[in-house]
Amino acid sequence: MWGGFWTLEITLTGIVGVLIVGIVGAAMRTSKSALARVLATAFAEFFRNTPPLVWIYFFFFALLGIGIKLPAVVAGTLALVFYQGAIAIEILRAGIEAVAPGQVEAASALGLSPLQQFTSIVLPQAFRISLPALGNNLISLLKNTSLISAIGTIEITGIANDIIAIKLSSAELYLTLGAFYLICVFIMSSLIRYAERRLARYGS
Amino acid sequence: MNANYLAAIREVLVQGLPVTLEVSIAAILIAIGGGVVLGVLRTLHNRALDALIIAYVELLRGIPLLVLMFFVFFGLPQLGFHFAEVPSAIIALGLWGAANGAEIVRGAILSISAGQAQAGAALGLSWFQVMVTVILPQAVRRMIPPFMSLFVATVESSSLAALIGVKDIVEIVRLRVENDPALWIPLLLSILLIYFFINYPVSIASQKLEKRLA
Repeated sequence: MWGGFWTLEITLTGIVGVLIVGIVGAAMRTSKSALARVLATAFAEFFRNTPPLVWIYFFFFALLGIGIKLPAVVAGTLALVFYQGAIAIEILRAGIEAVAPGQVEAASALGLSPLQQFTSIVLPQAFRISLPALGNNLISLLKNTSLISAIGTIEITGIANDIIAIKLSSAELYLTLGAFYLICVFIMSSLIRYAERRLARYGS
Repeated sequence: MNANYLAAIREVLVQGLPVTLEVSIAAILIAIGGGVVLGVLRTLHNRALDALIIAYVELLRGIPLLVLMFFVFFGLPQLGFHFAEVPSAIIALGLWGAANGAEIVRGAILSISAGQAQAGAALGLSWFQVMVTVILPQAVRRMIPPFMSLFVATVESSSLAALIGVKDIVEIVRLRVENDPALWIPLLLSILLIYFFINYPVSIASQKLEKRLA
């Protein structure tokens, strides 16, 4: 069951990537610079309206065509980080817009720089507001790691397919595979709900 | 490359696009129908029924759609149910969509104030009449934006059908580039644009509607 380990490994790396893309993108999306807003909007709208599977093909096969050989894990993780990150941008943008304007005014009255206002006042509150939707997005990332089986045998779905090709008994194995994902999703959603409860202490 | 690209993109548009649309539209219709039935049944507050529907929804939303599709196409024949590629894809996408649709419909019905149902009952309408003539017509407006988002997700997810051999736009690209790897970039960019032009207007309209309802 090495595959299960890789599935979790890709998911954890992916979560870090998605949060970085989401936070940077959402900051650009709500910034004063028109150029940053246009770039972030174009990125978010294009990635979230196109299938992650095609992006996985793109990062793996298409880049190979121009001499860039990415290992399947890297190509798959990148594609999912961009797709899931694009969705995170929209989620965090809504969260940032939901933070009361008085918060920013108060922060700037206290002499905080725009960066300080964002990182220590706006983002923590936006993060709390966005957490339920963000959590669903990260769970969807976990499930979408199964798409990487299309370009190689690394994570658990790819390995299951290989075993099925040899043993030709698929029904039980797919049920086991389904159970693996269900357990992982259950653990993840429990953790997210726990985080929501913890953070709710600070909120209104 | 140009002649090859043109021949390939023609095949994508003439043969692949109708398949992608057929799978997506059939699946979203199942999702809407199944979602309305399951969502309405949830409002009966029958314990056994609720437990069954919750189990169905959590199960189908807790496993990757790809695993479900593999199960329908490769696993079910072992249990005596054989479906061809396209029906398998539609079944898997439809079942998955119905689970998401059930939550959409339940949420929309819950958002209608309880006074509406009480007023309907006070007028002597049966439960069924209240649901069909009072609750659902009001709830439909709130269902439209999330169902539009579900349509976008369904169109995106229809690409997974390529992995069980459905000749949708993704699979046609993959078959075409086997002879000519130089076509990967232009063809993949082309189908990304096709998906984008189908999905973008729907997702923008969904956001606009949602804002107006809020």
